[in-house]
Amino acid sequence: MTWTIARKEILSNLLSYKFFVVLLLMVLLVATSLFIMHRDFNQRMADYQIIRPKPGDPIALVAPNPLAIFAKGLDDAMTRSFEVSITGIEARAGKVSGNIIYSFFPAPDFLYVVRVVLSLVALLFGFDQVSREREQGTLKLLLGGSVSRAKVLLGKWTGNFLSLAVPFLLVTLIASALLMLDPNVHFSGGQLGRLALMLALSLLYLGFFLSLGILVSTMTKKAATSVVVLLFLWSLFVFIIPNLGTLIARQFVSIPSVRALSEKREQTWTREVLLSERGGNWKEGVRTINRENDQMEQDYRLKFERLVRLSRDINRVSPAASFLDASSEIAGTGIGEESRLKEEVVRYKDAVIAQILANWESVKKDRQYPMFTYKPRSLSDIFASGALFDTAWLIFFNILSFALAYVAFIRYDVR
Amino acid sequence: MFRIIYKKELLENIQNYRFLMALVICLVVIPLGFTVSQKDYVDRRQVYDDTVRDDAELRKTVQDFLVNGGMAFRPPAALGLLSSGVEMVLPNAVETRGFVSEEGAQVQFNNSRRLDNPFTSLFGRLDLAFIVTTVLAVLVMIFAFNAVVGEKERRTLAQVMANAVPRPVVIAAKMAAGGTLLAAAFLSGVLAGVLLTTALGIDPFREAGAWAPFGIGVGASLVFLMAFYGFGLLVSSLSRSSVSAMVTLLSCWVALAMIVPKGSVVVAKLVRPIKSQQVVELEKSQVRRQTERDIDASVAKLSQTMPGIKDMSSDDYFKQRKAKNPVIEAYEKEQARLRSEFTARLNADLDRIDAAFDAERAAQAAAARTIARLSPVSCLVNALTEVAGTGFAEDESWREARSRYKQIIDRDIASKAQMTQFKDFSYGGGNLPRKAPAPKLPAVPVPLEKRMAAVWVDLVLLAIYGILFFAAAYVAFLRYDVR
Repeated sequence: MTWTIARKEILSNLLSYKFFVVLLLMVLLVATSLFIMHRDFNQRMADYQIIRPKPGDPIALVAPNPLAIFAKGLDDAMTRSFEVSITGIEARAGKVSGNIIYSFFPAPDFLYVVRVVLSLVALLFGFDQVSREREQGTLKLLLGGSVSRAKVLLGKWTGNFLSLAVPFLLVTLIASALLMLDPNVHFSGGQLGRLALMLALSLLYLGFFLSLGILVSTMTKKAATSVVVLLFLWSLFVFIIPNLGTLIARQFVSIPSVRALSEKREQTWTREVLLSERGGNWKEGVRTINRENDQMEQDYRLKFERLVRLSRDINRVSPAASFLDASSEIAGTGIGEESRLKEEVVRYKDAVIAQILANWESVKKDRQYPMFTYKPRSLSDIFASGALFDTAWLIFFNILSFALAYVAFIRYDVR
Repeated sequence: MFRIIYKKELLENIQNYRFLMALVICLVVIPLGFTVSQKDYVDRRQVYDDTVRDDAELRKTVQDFLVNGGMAFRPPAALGLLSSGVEMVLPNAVETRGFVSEEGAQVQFNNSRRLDNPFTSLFGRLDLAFIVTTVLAVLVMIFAFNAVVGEKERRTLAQVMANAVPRPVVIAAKMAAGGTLLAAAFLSGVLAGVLLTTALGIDPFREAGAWAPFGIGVGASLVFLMAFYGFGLLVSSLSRSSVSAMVTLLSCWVALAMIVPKGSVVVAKLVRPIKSQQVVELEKSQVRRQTERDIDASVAKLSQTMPGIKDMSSDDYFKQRKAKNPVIEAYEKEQARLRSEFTARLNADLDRIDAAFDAERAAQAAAARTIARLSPVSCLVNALTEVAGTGFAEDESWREARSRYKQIIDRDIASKAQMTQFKDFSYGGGNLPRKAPAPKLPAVPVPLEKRMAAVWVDLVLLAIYGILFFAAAYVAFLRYDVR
């Protein structure tokens, strides 16, 4: 019986104007997003080719990540060039070409499309599932038979989920396949696996919003009221909580300003320069500057990571934050990956400075430094450091919203 | 009759929680956005003030300038809460590159910055432009989607129309009532935001002249909301069911807010392709190298052809120079003339390359903006960005500032760093006013009039969209089958 109801839902969706428009919307959005992000990726690859360091240059630079086409995340920050010298690390923007207009209307990446627009579409599929049938009087007829309410609800959920998920997957897979025709965009097997995981997370996320739509529909008498309540919840989950979380976390964890750090760095530098001018050993001075800067950087990172952890924990009240966090980490453009890259850059800087100190007498231009290499975190690392929790959390949200919808539907007065 | 329908619409929207929900959303989202944006601004302002203070200490004299290089900083925009625009991608400083020689300073943008809040990069900025075009636009859809078609479904429209109520009155009353409630919710949110930031001591109005652009920004947002509500009425008057009205509105919103603005950039790139900044830098360095070669060749020719100089050995030359030989003085004068001629030519060539590139960039940006104006969302974003001082006018002004800084350095230092070459020896530069105050770039904020000149088209277009959508809704409602 569940499948019969699901089939009925699919058929009625297929015949509806809503389905046609939603399909068109998905095609337009996913295609536009991937097309624009693909162009952006090619542009950044061209920039990377221009600014990539020559062998022996003490510069840490990573190539743009092709998965950033789907999840931009912090890829711009990660593809900056980190120039190492005895004064420390200087980060420079990786982008050297282009017009400011490109940044004026930021491209919505795939994650944005799913997080903001498709979540709204999922609500649109769910908002009138029960209240509309009640308004039309068909719910009474349906429940007048021997079919259980659980089966009706499950059938409705399955039918609508498939109506949403199948076109979504088809459109995304076709657009991704077209993307792979470009020889500049090379996805490894692992990256394709990551992409599949991101799609699975997207389905979980959309499933939650569909259940939420059905839940609110079972708690309201009119579809119009259900829309208003759902819009409020959508704003709350997608915009309010993620911004509020960071704001609240900042009240509890204070981090020194970037300026304070740079002042301290300058003080250390000036002190050691003065000491060396008064007959001190400059080589030893460089060693001290490096050690003290590392210590300060480490303290900063510890506080910063506390802030990030707390923000992340508060933000997790919203499934949108969990979805974005887990997906961007899986894509390799998340906060964890950026943090790890920074650690590697600091390690690289230590190696470069150690080499400078070891070859102190050699002429600067003759020095050859090791090449910076960066290996992104493995999936098991990513899952262990939070993505597994976020995935489980999304599953929990799905089960909870569906269970609540079930309870509300059992108590629903169909008259 | 208008008043009766207007009152009925007001009461209906209040009773079905729409207004309450809109009010709650505005009272939460707008103050939250203002607070987050202003806290960010206060932090960046602090960094800017500290940096400028340190810079004044570090570069007191021309000598300090020569040792440490020159730097000038861009203050953060005080009204970034309206729209962050291109604020985060605009370079935060200009600096000199290498030594300042007699050929002039090389001034470049400094893009070094630290990622201090990864969540902002992940979730995006909650500025007014985003709140209005995303959250409140969806709210407007909720207000409007069943304003007409909902009444038809409930069969109340047929009853109203059965009486002697003119259709224009009904649609005008609906527009007025919905607009009033939306405006009330929006302005309450803005007021709450202003009060909250003032209570926290981070309001933007401590900066002189912030009220006027803020007021213009809020007014433009209000016009946008009205225009979008008119659009909602139009769709509702063209639909046969509430669901199809909702779906159509959602699709139109996606097209207007996401596809048209970003698509305009893609089309502009195709229609008016430009060179990359890197290519331009390469061209400039080729011109510099060629000029250096030309100078060397001219100076060599001069030393080989000038009577009294051509047969002189280096030792003789410097002995004669010490003895103030007029031939040497004439040689130095002639060389200075040659060098200043080449420097003028070099600067003219570099300016020409920069001007050509800036013109190309501006043409591409103008094309993108013109296409983007097909959407009222882009018009609002343009308007808010320019009045906030985070748009193209700021980019243009910052580029001008870079040129101005170069001119100041050239005037105060480079023009006095005259070098003379004889065979393999270069000497000179002794006239530098090393103890004079270091050249500074005075901060010249973009005046409101200039910013308004850049946005009046958008403001007018927003008003036109509003009138157009309402007129179309009116016509559609006149032809609407209420059965």
